[in-house]
Amino acid sequence: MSTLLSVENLHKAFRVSSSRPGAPKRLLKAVDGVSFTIKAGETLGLVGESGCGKSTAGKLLLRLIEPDDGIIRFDGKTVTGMAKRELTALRRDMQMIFQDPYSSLNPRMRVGDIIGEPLIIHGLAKGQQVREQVLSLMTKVGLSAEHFDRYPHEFSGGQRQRIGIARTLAVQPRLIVADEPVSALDLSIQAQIINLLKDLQQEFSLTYLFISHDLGVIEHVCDRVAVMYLGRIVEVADAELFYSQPRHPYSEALLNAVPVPDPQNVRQHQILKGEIPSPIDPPSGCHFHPRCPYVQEICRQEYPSLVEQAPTHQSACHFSSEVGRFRQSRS
Amino acid sequence: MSTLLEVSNLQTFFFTGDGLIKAIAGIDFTIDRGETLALVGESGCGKSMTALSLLRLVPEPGRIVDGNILFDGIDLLHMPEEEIRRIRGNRIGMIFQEPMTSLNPVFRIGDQIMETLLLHRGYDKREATELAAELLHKVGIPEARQRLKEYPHQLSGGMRQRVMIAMALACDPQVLIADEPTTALDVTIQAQIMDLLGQIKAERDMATLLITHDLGVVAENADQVAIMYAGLIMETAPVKELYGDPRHPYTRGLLACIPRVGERRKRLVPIEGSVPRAGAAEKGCSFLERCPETFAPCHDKHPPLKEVQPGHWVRCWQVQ
Repeated sequence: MSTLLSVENLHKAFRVSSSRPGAPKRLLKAVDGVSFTIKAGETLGLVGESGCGKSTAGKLLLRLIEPDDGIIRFDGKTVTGMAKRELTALRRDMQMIFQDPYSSLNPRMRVGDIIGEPLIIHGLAKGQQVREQVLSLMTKVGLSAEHFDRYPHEFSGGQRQRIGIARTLAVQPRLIVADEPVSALDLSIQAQIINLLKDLQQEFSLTYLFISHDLGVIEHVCDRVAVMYLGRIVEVADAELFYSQPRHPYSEALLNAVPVPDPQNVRQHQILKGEIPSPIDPPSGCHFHPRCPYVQEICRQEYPSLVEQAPTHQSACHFSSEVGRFRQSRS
Repeated sequence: MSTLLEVSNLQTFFFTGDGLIKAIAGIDFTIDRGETLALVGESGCGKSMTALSLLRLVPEPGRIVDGNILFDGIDLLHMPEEEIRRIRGNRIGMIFQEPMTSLNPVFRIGDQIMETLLLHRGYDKREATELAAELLHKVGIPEARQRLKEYPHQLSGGMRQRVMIAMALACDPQVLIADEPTTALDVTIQAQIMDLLGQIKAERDMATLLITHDLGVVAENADQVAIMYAGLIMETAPVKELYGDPRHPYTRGLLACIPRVGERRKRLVPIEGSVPRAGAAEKGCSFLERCPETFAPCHDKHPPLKEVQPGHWVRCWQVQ
């Protein structure tokens, strides 16, 4: 497979005002030197807890937020520094699905118009063609023709997410950034949408960046996984490798913290100490060191770079080879 | 173990401009001392409304129209408002999903914890301050004494949830109602909070009503499980039995559709259709439209609960 998207050393910091009035504004490094690639046709999962910068990273790719530094390349073209007109054309190829199906659809527009709008904006169809294409898209995502003239409030969360997906597909994108696309949905509906996204990927050869905090969902959707912590990627690996043998202590802790729906095999969780630190003032050295069970002196001083530990497996940890030690000694 | 809370035929309806909504259409359950009952269901199934009904906090235009709630032998539904106020937050504690909406943003954390102690326990201010600091320490908040002087916005989500737990525990409740206590939290913090609740429950022999949609959290923390759908309990059983031998098609569907960690599958098995609005079906089984296993009786009448094993009840025509 060829590389469709590559990101090098991406940076984005926000100025945030201090809680004390009059104090100077401080820098929140939301994305702090992130690099990764996505191959055509694959799904890369971006996992992390709230505030780790995963959503910001997704928006930076489409330049919905402007990066401070770094290079984004899509299909050989450099997205960073691209002029506005060119960027508009490129956005046909790169689309986004949002988490909240309640706030991402215009409540005053009919479903047919919501889905058809991008076709008109990008000049892909007019008149009767628009209606035809919209109806065909609606069928693809599991909506029926009778929904065409209805308004978003008449739909459930799952159906609204289908509307959002149909709108995304209208411009025939190649890459879709899906930001927590099933997190707001009920359990029985999540599986419907996950299956739909997988079917559409097959049918239209889509490439996904799938952003989620849910490790179960990620495992069922993704070919590769990247884990973010406080603005940086700490591990990237093939999904199978990641789930069977994580190489970063934070990934290990995340996997261990997920409650397992099997009362016959209730395991002891390795409870991670402490809170997720503020990204405004991250810990020195490796950002994870205050919570890490493997911590040594060097971790407090030096940030470990992301290096290849095994083929298709990178992690940023001074003691990557030791990860799993605690797991083994426990069982 | 003895029964501490007994709910029978509870019905809570909403009398809206658009008609009658049966949010809770007649449910029964009991919780023993020291036991955790998990009430599981999707949005609108009535699980949160059950929690509010237990405390008689159902918002307008809702009303409890029928049923009985016995708590330690006391009839909660028919006592005067003043008396239930003495039980609420005192003998029955509550934790809600979003701590930011349950904490008052303009009061210091210390004052909010102390309020229950001053109101229900008759402590003086100094004793209450001492105890509040002790409680914060107990729920794992460092520098408890300084934190008492802070406001809710100065704390992280996990810390706020700990404050809520400290408030709920202040009066040493016999029953704790925890409505989605970790849903708004990150998974590493969720593990910390559930661990804390488990410790407290063991120490105090406290009964817990755990309301959640997360079947992982249920498996690890509940003794008994009740599955709710459209205002009714569809299946209830001890936790191992429910996961090991689910009898209701809805329970089976829920267990099948979870994307589990460590079990990479090609395709998930969803439950078709959409989650019904509160109290929809009038005729036939409320799960009818989404059920893969319907037959003739399902269309006519709603099935009653039937005991298929001791302590394992199922509301489905297939087991009748």
